[in-house]
Amino acid sequence: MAKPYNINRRTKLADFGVMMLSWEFPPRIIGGIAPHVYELSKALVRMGISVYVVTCDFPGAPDYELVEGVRVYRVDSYKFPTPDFATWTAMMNVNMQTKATEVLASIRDKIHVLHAHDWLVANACIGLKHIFRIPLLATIHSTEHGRRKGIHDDYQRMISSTEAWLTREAWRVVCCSSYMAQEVKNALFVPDDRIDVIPNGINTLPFEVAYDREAFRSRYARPAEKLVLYVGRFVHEKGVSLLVEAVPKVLHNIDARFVMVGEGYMKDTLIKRVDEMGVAHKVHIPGFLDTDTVRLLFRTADVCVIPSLYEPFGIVALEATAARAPIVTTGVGGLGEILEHNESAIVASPTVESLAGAVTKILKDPTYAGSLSQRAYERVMSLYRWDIIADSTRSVYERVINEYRAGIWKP
Amino acid sequence: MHMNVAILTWEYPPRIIGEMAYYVQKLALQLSKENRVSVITFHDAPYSHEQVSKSLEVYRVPNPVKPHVTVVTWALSLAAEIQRIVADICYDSSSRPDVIDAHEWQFATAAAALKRAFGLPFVITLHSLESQRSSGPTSPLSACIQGLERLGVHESDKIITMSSWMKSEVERVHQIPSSKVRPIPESDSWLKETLQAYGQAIQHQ
Repeated sequence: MAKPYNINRRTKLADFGVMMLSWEFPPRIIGGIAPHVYELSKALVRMGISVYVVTCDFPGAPDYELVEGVRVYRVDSYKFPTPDFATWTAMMNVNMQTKATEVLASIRDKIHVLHAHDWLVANACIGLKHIFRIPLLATIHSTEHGRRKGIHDDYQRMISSTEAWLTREAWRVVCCSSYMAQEVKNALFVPDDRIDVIPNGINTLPFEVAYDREAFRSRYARPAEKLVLYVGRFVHEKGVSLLVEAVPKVLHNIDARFVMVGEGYMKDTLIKRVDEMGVAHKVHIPGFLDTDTVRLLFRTADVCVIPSLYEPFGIVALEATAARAPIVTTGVGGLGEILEHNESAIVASPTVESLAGAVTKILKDPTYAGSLSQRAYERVMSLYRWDIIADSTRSVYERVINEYRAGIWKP
Repeated sequence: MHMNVAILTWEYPPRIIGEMAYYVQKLALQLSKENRVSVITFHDAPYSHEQVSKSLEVYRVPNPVKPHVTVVTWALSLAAEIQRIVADICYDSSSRPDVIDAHEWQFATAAAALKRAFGLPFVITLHSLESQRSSGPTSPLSACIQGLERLGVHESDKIITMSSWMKSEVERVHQIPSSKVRPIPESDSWLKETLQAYGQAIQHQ
């Protein structure tokens, strides 16, 4: 199994620069890549690394800005109609490469690594790599194979093939969990020794702002009710229906209110199911909520349930932990690498009974719940802070740069 | 040797789709009598490098991504491989091209990127226009192709067409000054005029 790069063997480099390409960067937030690139690039700058981000435009956001030391360039993301998303991506990449070329042409000697985030920027990054002969690092956040549960048509095959191309062209490949490393290895045929595992990080500061807990809590539950929280998409792989089925079983043992935040194709079906089981008055399904409210919910909840059946990483586990919410999870995929059973969470089986039992146990024993969340918090603070993640990333950059310098492939 | 020319084309014998393959082959063979020519093209097989003569080399690259959903995704991922070959030629100090001649829109973005990075003069040869090939209301795909074609028209230093009529079409469709387009129809002075157009592109740079 792929292991993090041995930090003891690294050669420290004085100062170097990285150009990251990402199709999303705040305020353009579509999925998990935007917050990842945002936090990582800021943390790298704090370590003294120059970071240039080339990304897509967003209404109102400037073409160029300095974000806490990160130089951000936004390009026209091609807004005309296209036959499909992949064709749009190809057109957007033309603009991205043009802008990046313009930047690189003026500061070529300041950029030592190109860093691609997912296949969405493969064309531009690979073109830049060939033309400027700068080594390329690729972070694969997820694979088409994983997202679609296999490859079923030519469209998906093309995206998977693009992912494979990106990993072939990349000097090294970064994955956020050993689970993802395995997926990249199996689906894209990347050899173990070219993969580095660097988890996602979490910024705990936004979870520490002052708030009136009782007033906030009263919006969701009566004082006598325990507050059970689910945050995630309403889709099969998140296991949300297991939790819905567990509601009456938990209520049989203890009075509680279930708040389930998110959207997805299963939402209407599950609302109906809640009605059928006669527990609608105990379940609140508000749809999407803003980030600030979700953070306060994490902090207010008596237990946070993460019943996923498929999870490449599991950022929700870091968020719940940063908010010191006790966690019940199935521990699948990356979740099992973040949380340990009986140590930092209850890792239940992916069954209704097991989840209901685990939730009941946490709600009935606040002391036990508190010790789990405290140990989870300590673990996250020692392994998942962005400055730690940035330091691991830095060591991969240094490895790439040193190997590149020792080689003959140069401008 | 007078000039070192890199020709980018998506068809070249033995891969023949239309007339362009024959045209580009004739151009390469004629040019290579007194100039150094590298043809960079596609074939659906592993990379190959053919030294046709002392002054003519043909590089054939596969598409790094397979399959494709549209001709645009096909052309643009292939374009990254085209960039690799031309960059490799450029980094070999003995073979740096004096000019790039890209045929049609498929590798216009590649030529534009190479021009911006290496300062290589860029000629685009337009055999036809997307607006002529497609009829009826513009489809999203056709609009993408027209956009790529226009990028080539604007980023290039010189445009070659096969006829005066095509020259006026390019000017009309893409709204560019007449002086940028040079029609070079078949004639005895065809090769000389092509070299003159290359020379104009180099001067423009």
